[in-house]
Amino acid sequence: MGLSVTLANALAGMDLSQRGLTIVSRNVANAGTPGYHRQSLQRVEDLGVSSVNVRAAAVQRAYVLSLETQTHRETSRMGEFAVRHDFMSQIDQLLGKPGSVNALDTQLANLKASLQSLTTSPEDFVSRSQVIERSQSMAETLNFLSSSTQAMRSEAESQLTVHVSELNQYLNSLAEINQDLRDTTRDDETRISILDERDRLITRVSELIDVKVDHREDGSVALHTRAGVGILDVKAAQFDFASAGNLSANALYNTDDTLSGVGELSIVTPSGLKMDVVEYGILHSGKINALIEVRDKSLVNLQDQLDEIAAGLAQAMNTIETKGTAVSSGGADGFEVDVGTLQAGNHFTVKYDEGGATRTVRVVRVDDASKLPMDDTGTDGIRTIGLDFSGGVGPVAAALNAALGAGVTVSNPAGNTIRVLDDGAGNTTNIRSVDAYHTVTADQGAGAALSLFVDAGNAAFTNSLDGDPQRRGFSARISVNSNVVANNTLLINYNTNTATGDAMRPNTLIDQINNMQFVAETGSDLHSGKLRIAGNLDNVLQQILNYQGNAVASAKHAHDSQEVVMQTLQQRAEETYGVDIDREMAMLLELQNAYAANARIVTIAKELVDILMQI
Amino acid sequence: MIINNSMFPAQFNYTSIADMRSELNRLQQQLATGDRAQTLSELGGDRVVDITLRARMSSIDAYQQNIDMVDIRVSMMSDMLARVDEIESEARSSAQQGSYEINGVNMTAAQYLSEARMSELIDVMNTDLNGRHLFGGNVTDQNPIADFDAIMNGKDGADGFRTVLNERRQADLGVGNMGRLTTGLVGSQISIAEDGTHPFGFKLSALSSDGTSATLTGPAGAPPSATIDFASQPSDNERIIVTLDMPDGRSVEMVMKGSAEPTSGSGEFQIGGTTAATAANFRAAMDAKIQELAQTELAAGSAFAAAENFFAGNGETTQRVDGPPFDTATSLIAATPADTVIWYQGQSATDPRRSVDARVDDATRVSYGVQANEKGPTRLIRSLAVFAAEGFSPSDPHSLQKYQSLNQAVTGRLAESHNSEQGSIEVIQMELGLVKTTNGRVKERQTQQDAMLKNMLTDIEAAPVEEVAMKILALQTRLQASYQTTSIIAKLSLVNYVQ
Repeated sequence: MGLSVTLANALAGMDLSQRGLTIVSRNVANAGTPGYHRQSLQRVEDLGVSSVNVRAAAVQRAYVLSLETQTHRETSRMGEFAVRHDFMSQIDQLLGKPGSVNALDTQLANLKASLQSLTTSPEDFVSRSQVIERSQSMAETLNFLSSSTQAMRSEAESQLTVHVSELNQYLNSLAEINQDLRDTTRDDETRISILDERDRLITRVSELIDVKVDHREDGSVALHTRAGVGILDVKAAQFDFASAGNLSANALYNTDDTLSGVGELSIVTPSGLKMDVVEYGILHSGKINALIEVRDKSLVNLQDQLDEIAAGLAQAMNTIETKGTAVSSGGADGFEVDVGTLQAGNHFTVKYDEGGATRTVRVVRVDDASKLPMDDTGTDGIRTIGLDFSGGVGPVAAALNAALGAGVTVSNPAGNTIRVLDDGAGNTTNIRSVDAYHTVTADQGAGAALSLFVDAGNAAFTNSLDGDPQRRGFSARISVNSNVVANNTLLINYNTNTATGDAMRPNTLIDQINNMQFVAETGSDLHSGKLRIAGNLDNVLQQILNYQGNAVASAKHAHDSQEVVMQTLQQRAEETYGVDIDREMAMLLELQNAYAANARIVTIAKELVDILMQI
Repeated sequence: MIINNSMFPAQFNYTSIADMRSELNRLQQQLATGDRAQTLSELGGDRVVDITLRARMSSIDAYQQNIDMVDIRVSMMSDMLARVDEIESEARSSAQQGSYEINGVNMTAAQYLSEARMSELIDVMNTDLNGRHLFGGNVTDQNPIADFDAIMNGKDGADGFRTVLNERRQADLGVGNMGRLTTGLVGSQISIAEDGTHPFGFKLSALSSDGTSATLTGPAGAPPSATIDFASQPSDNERIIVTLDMPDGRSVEMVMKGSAEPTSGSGEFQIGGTTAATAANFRAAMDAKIQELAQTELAAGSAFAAAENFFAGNGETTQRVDGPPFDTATSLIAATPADTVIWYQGQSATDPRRSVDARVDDATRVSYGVQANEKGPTRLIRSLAVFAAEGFSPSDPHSLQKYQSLNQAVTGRLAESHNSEQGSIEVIQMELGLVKTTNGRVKERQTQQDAMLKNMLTDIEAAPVEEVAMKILALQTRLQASYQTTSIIAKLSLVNYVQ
């Protein structure tokens, strides 16, 4: 009662003001610190021993759970889009704008133009050397694009290494923070700064992988991936990435570890269970997932498409088409053709009508037993059958006969000829054509086609499917035939006695480039879907450039819109957790006055006590 | 960038200003380059159209170059052929019958004029444009026609035209200049026969008489022979006409005229006392006449035949007489480059025009190959060669007739009536003219198409200057306003007002 109560009240008030000033000063000091949540003091009336005054109940930290959850989700998406945007922009720069000097479409147009002028002036040395020069330029562009693609894949792997070690660091720090938070003997102020650090770490983790956060009452957290795999509870899981070094076109992902050529990302749970992240599809979003997707899908697509272009270029020039001759035997009509010149990867096609529908069967020479049996029908309706030719044409005819059914008879009457006949009197089938396509075997004396573009070591490109398909990675190996470079009259002389003004070979090359049709299926990008390429070489190139340009544009668009979302969230976070200097200053004034008033009361009380003491 | 690890992350206002700044830079770049898009992805949905347009424009460029090159070549060829045509008409007018010369000047000059014309013809046909010979089909790296001296005189052990001509004359004239005919007399019957089955010498074609004194039989049999039997004495001036074919396709009439008086004129025989005597006179006169005709008409015909053998046309091979001995030769053999100079060294395609063609559009080709051994030039060179091979000396009694016979042959061969034949110089010129027309048409069409494509490309790619300038202006306003408000807000803080 009396003065002591007054004193006690005033002292409690001063104490509170001091606490408040501390908090204001902390807020102001951390006004620009990223991830800092605004703190405020909560006061309650206190039931003391002898008086009712005020005390600080708790320091509150501004925190909104829904905003945090939303931020985590959008952050992982942002991480994913940022990575895709990064790599896609590189692809954009590599491919170049159509019409620019190093763009593939300009290179192809230049090559065709030089062949055109070669047909007009075959005897002119300058025309011939220009064709050589443009072919080399085309080959070099393809080589460069291919090696850049593989370099990007290796870069993705090195980024993965960095991010995985960062991730492990964050997870370990979070585990320690969990430990600290469980220790309830800590006082409030320290706890709150630990909480800020915790939230920062979680946001960084969500940039790298997609997470779902469970908050416990004591402030500790448990992390799971969105797929449900636990990453952190008491102990943290560890991510492990074994890089594969420099990647090549043949280094592809395979669920079987012995066959996989790329680095392996796995997660080791605290209990010791090791899981392959890609095989089990553990990650859905975030930078790490995006890097894996870039390495295994987008860039592999690009490589496939570059290989298609290179293969098309080589095959258009070095393929000789042999049309079958009509033949009749025992009442049945059909065609026959010599397939002795077919090399591994070459094919012959049989077109026939059965039951009112036209069927096309392509028989490819595949000598590798591990690839057989091969018999599938593509989405364009062409049935591709792989057969082994190493035992002679007889077994091939027998196998094809069995595959085509009763309506069509396939036989090997003599030597290397395949004869396909319809069913004669039964009249349910009708053979339309049997054509063979083989790679030219020599630069002179073997036909008008020319192996202008060759594989490594001057080997001919036959599109062989044995072992590793010859097409894979071909764009890195494609080069101009060194014999032709050394002696460019080979562009004209398809025989040793060809006249100097004979333009038959260049005319054949141009005709085949314009008319040979290619069909392929590449790419199944999660975002862009499957691309079916069909048409001649020009069409193939256009479709590929269009597909890639589209992919780049959508990646950029997604990235830009996600940026807007992130900015909106950041703005909200600013408002909710940010420190408003004006408010803190107002608070400061208030506290200052309160403190001064309380100090005045203490002074008055002291004077009164003094007066009392003088009695 | 997502988690701003910098100590002072910029507020939203500042980042939006930075964004506007980079947008301004982008618009400036658009204005400077004139292109709306700088990369593949920025082209947007028109990407495929853009690539297709560029491909088409590039191929049009290539075709235009081809057209220009072909135009130059065809112009040159037309000029050359015009000169060849002139040579032909000069040769034709020189050969006109009835150009009466003074003291045989024209006749003497004939060889030199023909030599000069033939050399010029060879040079014209051998012209090259930038190293490419135009009249050899697709053999463009060497002269289509061998040089004049080699053709006429031979080279390196291979025989030339003069040798072949000589051998052919020996084969045609036969032994004793009888034109490979044999005559016989039995009583009052005169027989005349070819001495074998071969392409040389005179060939009996017809036998006729304007009287009834002689019984004529034949020509018949193989080898053909004919007989003239004087059943009774012929009357004065009665004529017996033997038509003889010559190796160059012409024929000549040997007219034997009976005369009551003794005579020594060419082709006249004296009617003797008996039919046997008449027959004997007849035979002697006929032998003399045959020898005379052999050295004049037959020599001319033989020269042309030799020219046809030596200067083989398209699809034919050079031939020469199989021998020695030549005067009893019975066949021709094909010549080889080792023993004979082959006059034409270019390509011999069945369709000369198609031997060289150029692509002027995706599906259009122009064919402009010309061979020097097509009908027109070949006929001309043969006609010139026969005159250039030998001279006509005024002192030789047979020269004048031989000269006139050759002229007659040449007039026939170089006549304008041949102009419409395939391979004649006029037809070649017309076909080349067609090539030029096609070129012109295609070029015009492609130029228009190119202009249209350029327009379409500009629509897709070009940044319209006005639009970009407007955007820059609007952006500038926004940027200035943002700068202003940001600086005002930054100054408004309670901190500035607390004492």
